[in-house]
Amino acid sequence: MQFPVRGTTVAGALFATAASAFALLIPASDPDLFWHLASGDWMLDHRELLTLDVFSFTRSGMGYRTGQWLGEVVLALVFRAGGWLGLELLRASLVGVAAFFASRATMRVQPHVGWAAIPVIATILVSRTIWADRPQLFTLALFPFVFDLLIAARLEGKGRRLALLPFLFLAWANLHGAFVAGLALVAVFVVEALLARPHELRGAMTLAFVGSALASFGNPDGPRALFAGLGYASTSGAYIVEEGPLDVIGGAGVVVAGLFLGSLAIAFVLGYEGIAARLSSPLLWAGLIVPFGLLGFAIQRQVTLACIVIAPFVAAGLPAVLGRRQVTPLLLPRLGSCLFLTTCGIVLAVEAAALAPRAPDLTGYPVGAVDVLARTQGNVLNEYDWGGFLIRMAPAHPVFVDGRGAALYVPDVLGDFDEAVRLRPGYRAVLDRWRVDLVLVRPARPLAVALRDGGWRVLGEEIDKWVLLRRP
Amino acid sequence: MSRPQVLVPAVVGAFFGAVAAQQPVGDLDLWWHLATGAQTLAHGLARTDGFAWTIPGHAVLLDQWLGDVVIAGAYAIGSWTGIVAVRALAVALLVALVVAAALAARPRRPLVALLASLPAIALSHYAWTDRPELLGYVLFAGVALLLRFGQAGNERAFIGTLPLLALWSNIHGSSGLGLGLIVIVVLERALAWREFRLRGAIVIVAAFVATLLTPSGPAAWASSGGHFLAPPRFIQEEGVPDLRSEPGILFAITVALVFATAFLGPGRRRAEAAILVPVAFVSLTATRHMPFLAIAAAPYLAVDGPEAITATLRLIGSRSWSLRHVAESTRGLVAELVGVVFAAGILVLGVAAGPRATMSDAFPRDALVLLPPGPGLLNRYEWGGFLIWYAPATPVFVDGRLFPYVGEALDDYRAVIGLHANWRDVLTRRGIRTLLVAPSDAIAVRARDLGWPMLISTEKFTLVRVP
Repeated sequence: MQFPVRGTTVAGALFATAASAFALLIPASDPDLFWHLASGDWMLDHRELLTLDVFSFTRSGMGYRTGQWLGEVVLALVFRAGGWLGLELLRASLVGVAAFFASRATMRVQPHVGWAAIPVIATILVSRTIWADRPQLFTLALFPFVFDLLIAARLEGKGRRLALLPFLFLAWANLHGAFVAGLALVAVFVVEALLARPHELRGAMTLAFVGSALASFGNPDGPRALFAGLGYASTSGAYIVEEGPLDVIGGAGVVVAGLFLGSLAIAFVLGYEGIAARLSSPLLWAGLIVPFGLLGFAIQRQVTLACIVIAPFVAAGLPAVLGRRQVTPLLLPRLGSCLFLTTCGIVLAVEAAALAPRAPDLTGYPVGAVDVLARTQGNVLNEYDWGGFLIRMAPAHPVFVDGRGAALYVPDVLGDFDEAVRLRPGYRAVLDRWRVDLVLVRPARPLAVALRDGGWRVLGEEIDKWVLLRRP
Repeated sequence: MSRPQVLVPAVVGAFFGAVAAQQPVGDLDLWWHLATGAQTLAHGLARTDGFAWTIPGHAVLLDQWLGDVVIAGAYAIGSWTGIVAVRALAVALLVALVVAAALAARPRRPLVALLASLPAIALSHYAWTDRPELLGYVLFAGVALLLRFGQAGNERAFIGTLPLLALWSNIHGSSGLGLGLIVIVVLERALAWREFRLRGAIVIVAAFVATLLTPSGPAAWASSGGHFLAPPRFIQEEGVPDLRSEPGILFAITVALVFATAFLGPGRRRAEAAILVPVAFVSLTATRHMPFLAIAAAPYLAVDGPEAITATLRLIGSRSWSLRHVAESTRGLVAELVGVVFAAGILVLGVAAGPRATMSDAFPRDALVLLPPGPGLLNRYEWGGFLIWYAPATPVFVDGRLFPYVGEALDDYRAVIGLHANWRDVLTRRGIRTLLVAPSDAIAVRARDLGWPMLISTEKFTLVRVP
């Protein structure tokens, strides 16, 4: 006897396949990948956690935590096993998982794939902004997974699945620091359950939240990791673009604004009763969309989380506004579904074998400077974005600064970096204080222009890309 | 919507107008508005630039000409006090219109109306400065109020928006928002009411025509649209709203209140969606646009806010609560007139008690006597207006009018200030003889390194002669 498969599951697999296929075509290039790999390698080689800086000369020996040790170890292991292709496959897998659970959560409230498709595809396209090869990919996968579990428990009564949450958070708290966002997500469901639902869910939700929070303490920092996450949210936007506010004119911002304001328009029309009839608890949806929406506008790298929680509301609310009746999930034959899913897998495997890049895209990095650096000595002041690359490719030269900005260099070193590259009055003092003998920056930097003028020797350059200068 | 009440809005508006009058004059852009307005009053509208030596004869935007004239006229009549009086009156009007709209939506509940107006008052206070932009907010509040009356069935209110829009189009470039809003709201009503469609079409056409009744004509659309789609993000007020800043937090609270009310309110508010969704989008586009949503949302929060609270309390099983019905007030016209007079008194007292001096300590005042006459100065962008007003014999390189400079002039400015690779070429090509910049600017640091003569140098500015 064949047990049918929900059409929404198959549709979710289709979205996941499309997203993975897209993700497989992008070569690795993220600036932070390199220092994550270097950190993971160090931990594997030394069989201990990396808690003191060993890569820079400005913070050498200083304690720090990125809250991502397990994510870095996984990246390093994957790279050791499969090289750049291995990282591509990891990225594609995690993107696929994210797309699957994001779409499945959406289709729990909107089984009609046509109505679900637009917000789901919008979410996948917005998520493209965080497909960088970093531990953040684990958050990309885990957040919609947790969201789907919570939605299933709340709307379909599948409370037993909540037992998975503590285990997920135990892993998540070691994979990436944004597990705090996941806890906030669970908290919203708990508060709503306590305020608005009868008994059966209150206990399960509360237990799940407490268990998840306690499990998240199972990381090297314990409970302090929670506060580190909250502290990050309030400070880092001043230096790092991806942690600054979202621009709604153009790119992902237009899409996000469309979803966010679309949900507002739907709420205006449906109101409390209409939302309750289609989507259950208006309080829950308000509690999800408002804080995560505002989080996405405040810190653009979190905007995907906003889209994940908004998509189901828009998918179900829009046809309700237009007076379309709700549909029930389609059931598909198991055999056919399995064949379809197998085909998807084969397509991805063929694509990986034939088209996935085997090498990173290094066009944004000072590749030509590596050989020159190997022949010179001295402290190098480097571009922030190139720090990770230099850590991996020129390990003999500890860096001035790199992508561990918020964890390690805020505010002093980043302040000095800014002072120097923008040629502020204290730039000479910065160069002297840190005994900088080499400067590796973009040629348009005022510092580069001034030092060239001021007699520093050009050891190497690539027009409009990088210049390496040596103190006379 | 009931007949607008005057007493409470007037008194509340006057109070905040008096508060606004306590701030000294000192907005960065005031000075070029003043200079442009004074030039217009003296010689008529100038269609080409006469203040900068980098864009000789360049066409200038005229989308704020009337706002400039209002400011210059106020200065001519009452000096700095005159400008403060315009600011106070504008703020009083703005707050009064917001409160009046909220009160019209929730009659005889002044406390509810005031609470619903607080986000607008709090957010708009960052814009209580001496520029046509403040007048733009006033006109936005007026147009939004009339549109709500129109939505409630008083179709003559739609007609009333047209002269306001025509006025707005001559006072400030934000009139594009007014046009868009009128079109959307009228379309929404036309979709719902077949018999309104012809009248609605006429209103829409008339609205477009109203925006053309400016010296710029259709060019005003291009500048307004261009500004909206490609805002100069390097200018703080044109930057992306930062929800972690103080105004950003207030804006986030406003957004949260609107969303919460929508999700928990009674629904069937398509008319509200027609106003608040496009305004919300505009508010998200730039820091200076944030107050628009709060201004437009005050009546909605006054109407549905208490209902949303009731629904939430019912949901969580609390005792049911709702606003008591209040009987029609017997307060008549006399009482309202007395209230207006009282409000006017508060406003006059506030202006009289306000500072007389300008905040010119924020500007390079001590450099004025050392500026050489004639072209050749490169000045920091934000001081351009100040120099136009106080050093007319020394044309500026760039100033807050921005858009006439977009292109070569702005590129050259950035190349020098930011010490780009071609900075020496720009100095030579342009014939720049003097630099008036901040000590922390890269060019100032480099000039000091090279030993260029520093004619005067303080913590805030440096005047350098280019050898």
